[in-house]
Amino acid sequence: MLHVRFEERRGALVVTPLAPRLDAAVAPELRDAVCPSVAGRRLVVVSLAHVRSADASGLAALVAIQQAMAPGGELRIANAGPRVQALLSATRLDELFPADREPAEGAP
Amino acid sequence: MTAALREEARARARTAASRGGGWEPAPGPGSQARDLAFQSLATLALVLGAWYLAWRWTSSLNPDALGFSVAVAAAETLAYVGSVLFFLSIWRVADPAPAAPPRTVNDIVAEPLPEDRPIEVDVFVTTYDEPVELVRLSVRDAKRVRYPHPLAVTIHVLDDGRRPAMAAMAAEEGVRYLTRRTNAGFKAGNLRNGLERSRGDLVVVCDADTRLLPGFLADTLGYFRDPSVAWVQTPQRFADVDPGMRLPEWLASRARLGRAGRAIGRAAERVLGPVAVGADPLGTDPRAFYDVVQRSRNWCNAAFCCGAGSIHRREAIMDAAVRRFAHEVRSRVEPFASKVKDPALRAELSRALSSQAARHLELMPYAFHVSEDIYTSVLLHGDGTRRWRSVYHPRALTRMLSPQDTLAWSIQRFKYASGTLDIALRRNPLRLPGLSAWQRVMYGATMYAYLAPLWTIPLMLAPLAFFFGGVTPIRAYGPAFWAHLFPFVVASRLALWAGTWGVPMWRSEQYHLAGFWLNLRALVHVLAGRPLRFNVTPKLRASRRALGVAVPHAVLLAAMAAGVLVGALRLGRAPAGEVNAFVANVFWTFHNGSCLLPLVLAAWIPRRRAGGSGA
Repeated sequence: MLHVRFEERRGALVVTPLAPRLDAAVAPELRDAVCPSVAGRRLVVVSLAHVRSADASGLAALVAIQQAMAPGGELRIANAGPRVQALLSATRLDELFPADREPAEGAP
Repeated sequence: MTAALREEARARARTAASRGGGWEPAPGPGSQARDLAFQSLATLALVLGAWYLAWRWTSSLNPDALGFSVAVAAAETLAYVGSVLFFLSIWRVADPAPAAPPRTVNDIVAEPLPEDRPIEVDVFVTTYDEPVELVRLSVRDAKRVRYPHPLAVTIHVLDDGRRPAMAAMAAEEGVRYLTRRTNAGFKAGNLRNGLERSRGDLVVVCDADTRLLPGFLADTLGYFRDPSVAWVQTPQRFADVDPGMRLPEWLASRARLGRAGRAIGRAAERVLGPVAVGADPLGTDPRAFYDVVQRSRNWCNAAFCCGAGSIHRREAIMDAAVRRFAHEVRSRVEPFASKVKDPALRAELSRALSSQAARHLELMPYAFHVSEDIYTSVLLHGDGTRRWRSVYHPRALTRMLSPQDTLAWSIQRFKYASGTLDIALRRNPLRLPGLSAWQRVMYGATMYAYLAPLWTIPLMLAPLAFFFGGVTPIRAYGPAFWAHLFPFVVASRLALWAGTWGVPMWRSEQYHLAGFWLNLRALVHVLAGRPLRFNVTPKLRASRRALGVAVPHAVLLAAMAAGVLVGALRLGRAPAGEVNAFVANVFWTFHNGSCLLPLVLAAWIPRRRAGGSGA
């Protein structure tokens, strides 16, 4: 069972999946847990503070979350570790999901 | 659908099932000797062909009918290019080395998981309008698949028909039932829905009528020990194709030659390999495609996925999907962003535009395309960063039902042809930077083959022009003509014979020519930019005959017969040289006619009832 923490931060929704891997095993749950909550949102920050690694299914879930937001809404990634960062830049999804520069409130 | 048809589907499925897995011999092992024999003969044939064409263009064009002559020579040249590509695409056979079935997931991934576990496999059975009982048989066979180690298999019925009866069947069989509100993307969209709502490491894709044999996973999972293997394709076998009668038997009983006939038949088979008379009247037997074409693509990592009977690594599917999505977003944003000089401002703008663009694009694990399978394959092969590999497993591990009549056959062929031509003309995948030269040859050969009407039609019409109009594409059918043509034809036949040893090819050759009308329609359809059709290939025999499909062929056959007659009558008062021309044209007309005839017969004769004498 995947747990996800939701927090409000100055108009943005901060979503923190509490899982060590953002992969195919949790992607359906992540999608189901987060997509309904981001409808109509213009800014969502996904904090990967707990996530050590990810796979393409996990990234596809992020795309699904972005598509569930308001048109033109922005999804930012916070606290991405080096391995997740490497995957984001290899797939060039980092151009779609900019890094969040705010203080890391989603950190444990 | 009537009850009778439903009953027939059930009966056919039963017949197919009762025949079991061993009904089809595995293809013989490839060998270096075979490769060498084929490569020598193919090289010889191609050199002789080039020599013939050089003579055609420089010394044989008919000045009295230059336009016609050039058109036919051009068609011959295009056909020759097709032969070159085909010979290259079957250049060598190298089957993959078998590997022991992996025990746990860490045996098949590059980076081991901290907590090891059994491999998880999702089996997707896609259906739209097939009968519930047909799908039930596929589900039951999937449940019977065995594996030597613990394995977590989840079977999903992906029903785009949203039928309560199908849901009830899934519940009875204890498998998962998934459906969705729309049919967007047809089969590809249906599979995407399944992928989004499942989590297995590996994914088996089955059509409604794909029956897995118990060894399917045990025989294919070993290949995934190589973490770069993206998918394994197994040959498709139709369980209900009429196997015909072996030549010795046929000569002995049908031709009433008794023992002598049997002996002649055996001797002939020793030279030619197994010959089955009357087999596969519809030309649906896919052995020529799988045992020759796909098998020859394995060594250079170009075997493509065929939509059913394949098993995929989920990470490969999703990796390709995500990369492609990011690429499409970028290609929408770049034209605008590149106009902004200031880097900071440009980054700001592209970010805003990317979010917008992403909203309007779909992340499709399976390309949103009629030929979704070949397109997904070429994208994964062409992905230069991950270097995904494919494996073609040479032995059949599934059985399925063939298209049941000429109409179903023609729908399926039209779908393949228009889909592949659309890819070739609109998204030319040969430009993908990650493809190797040999992969380009392989995919190029596949796409080029669908342009065949450009040469088969002129070559079929040329003899008619001679019979009715007396014009010839060649100045003189003298000894020079035969001396140039004959060695090429003989060497080509020998090369084909060696390259396709043991696999019946004649039907697929016939249908290559007989497909002229379908392929022409597909070509016109795609060039005109008309929308592609996503018709599901019917698995049930239509209740009426599909005569319309064969009308152009029947007309052409009639014209050929009349032409030979007219030509023969004119022969009496023709100069001596024309006899040669007549013989040459009659020869080609007979060849062409014998290729067209089976399709006409197949359309005319209604199929036997299920489990009939062919079974």
